[in-house]
Amino acid sequence: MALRKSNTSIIRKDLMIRIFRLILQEKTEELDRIPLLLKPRGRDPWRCCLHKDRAVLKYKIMSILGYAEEDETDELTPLSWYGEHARGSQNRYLNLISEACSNCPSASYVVTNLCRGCEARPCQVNCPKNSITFKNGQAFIDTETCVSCGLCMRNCPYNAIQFQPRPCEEVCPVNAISTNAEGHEEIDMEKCILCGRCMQSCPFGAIIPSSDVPQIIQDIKSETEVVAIVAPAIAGQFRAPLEQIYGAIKAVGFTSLYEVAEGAELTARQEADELVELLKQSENPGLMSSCCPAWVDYVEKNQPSWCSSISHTPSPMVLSAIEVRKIHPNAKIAFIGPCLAKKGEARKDPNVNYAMSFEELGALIVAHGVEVAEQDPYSLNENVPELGRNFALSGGVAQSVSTLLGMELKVHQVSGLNKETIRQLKRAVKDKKSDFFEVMCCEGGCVGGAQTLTSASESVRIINS
Amino acid sequence: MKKHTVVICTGTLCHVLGGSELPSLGQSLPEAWRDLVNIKGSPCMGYCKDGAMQPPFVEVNGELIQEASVSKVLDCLEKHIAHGTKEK
Repeated sequence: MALRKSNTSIIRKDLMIRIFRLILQEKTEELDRIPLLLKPRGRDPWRCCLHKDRAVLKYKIMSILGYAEEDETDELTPLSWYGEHARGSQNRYLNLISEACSNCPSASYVVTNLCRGCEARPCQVNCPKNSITFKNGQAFIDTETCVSCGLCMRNCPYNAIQFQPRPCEEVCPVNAISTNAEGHEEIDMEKCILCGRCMQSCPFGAIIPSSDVPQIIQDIKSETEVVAIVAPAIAGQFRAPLEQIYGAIKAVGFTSLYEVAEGAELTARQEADELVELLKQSENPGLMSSCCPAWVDYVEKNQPSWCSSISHTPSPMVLSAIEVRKIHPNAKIAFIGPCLAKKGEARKDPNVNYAMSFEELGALIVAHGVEVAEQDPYSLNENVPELGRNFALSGGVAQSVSTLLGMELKVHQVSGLNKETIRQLKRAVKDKKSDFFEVMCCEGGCVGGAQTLTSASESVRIINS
Repeated sequence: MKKHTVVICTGTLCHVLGGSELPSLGQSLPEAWRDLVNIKGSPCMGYCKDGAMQPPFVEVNGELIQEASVSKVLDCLEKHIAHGTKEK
């Protein structure tokens, strides 16, 4: 479960604000001061001591600048060097900082001191594997034979038995995280679909993405044309109308803006055409949506037999970038969205140079000292791409395709890819009763993305108000 | 009757650094308090400027709450309502 409101995302954003501000002011030599500013002498440490906290902050800053721990060849290389050589997310999308990782014990049921060694012993009596013995008047679970059914926990009258999870492994839908030989957690990038759950759930903030923003700032400074293509989930990210948010994006230096919702309309049209052809077949396997990169990655890496069912239509980002490239052949194109997986998708697309998250956008706006609510509205389209804007919410893609076709579709909708929804999906694919599979990796759709500024529910509330 | 006043900073920094849900405070207000409390949004109140204090910021009858959350604000309001401190 992702932590709803926690310090880790605030620290990540705070670090980004400080880094971006120093790069904007051309004071990268002051980057080395950030760990000291955040953890000055005398402050209570989060970890064992202030020095450890400062080391962790250093690796987090390096990570934002595009460098992982293993890229550090000399420990005396100052942060200012990394700041001057910021290299974005070209090599690293997501870094697991072993210095920050707490090496959580593997997931298991544990008996706490609340155990009173009672006579009833419901933990022992109800255990199907005889894994519970009593030592020194307290229950003891034999981890060799325990099958983690949880019956002991549910039956204890004192709530003395607790499930201790390893949060990152618990939430990873594809089992991409495991312990390496040194006892640290490691992400297997061959399996990882960049959903970002581990980053959201780690209570130690040990998993942190790299940012393209330092390079975008340099491009803007050197007067390179940088066009922002902005995902429809932007509505509701700030407490301001869409046009004012676009005004703020202009104010931080992007040359021009393009709504990915326009690309999404093209996606919806092409998917509708694909579906028309498919529905002519007597037994159609159903068409799977292609707009969510984490989902497409999931299929390619875990369910290769489904690949043929994935729509051939490029994602809204890809189609938007093609349109922008026609008008701005020499510009750098930066995608701005709620998503971590887009960093991976952007890297594969020849037209998209950068991918940044709403978190990074928020940090960049703050670093510039721009107030969103004070910006002049900047309007983009005469025709509002309503069908495309639907793409930000679960159900929206299916709705747009169905509207275009003028018919009701049998839709299997997945709002949040996890172990349970994957099971349901497998059944639905076998049943062949669905015309369209709309799968969004994040709960609620893109508005629930891994790197948003507002929760999915708050975002919907802002849009409706 | 003068009401208790809650001022929520709606500046971009407070929004980005953990305050995005504060303006929806009204929805968490107990029914009995609805007529006693006046919730206002304010442009940046300037507390973030020297970096010494922790955003997001909320004022309850002029009392500053740092690292504000909906639950912290409600807790502070409860104290003010119990003591009957009103807006000056």
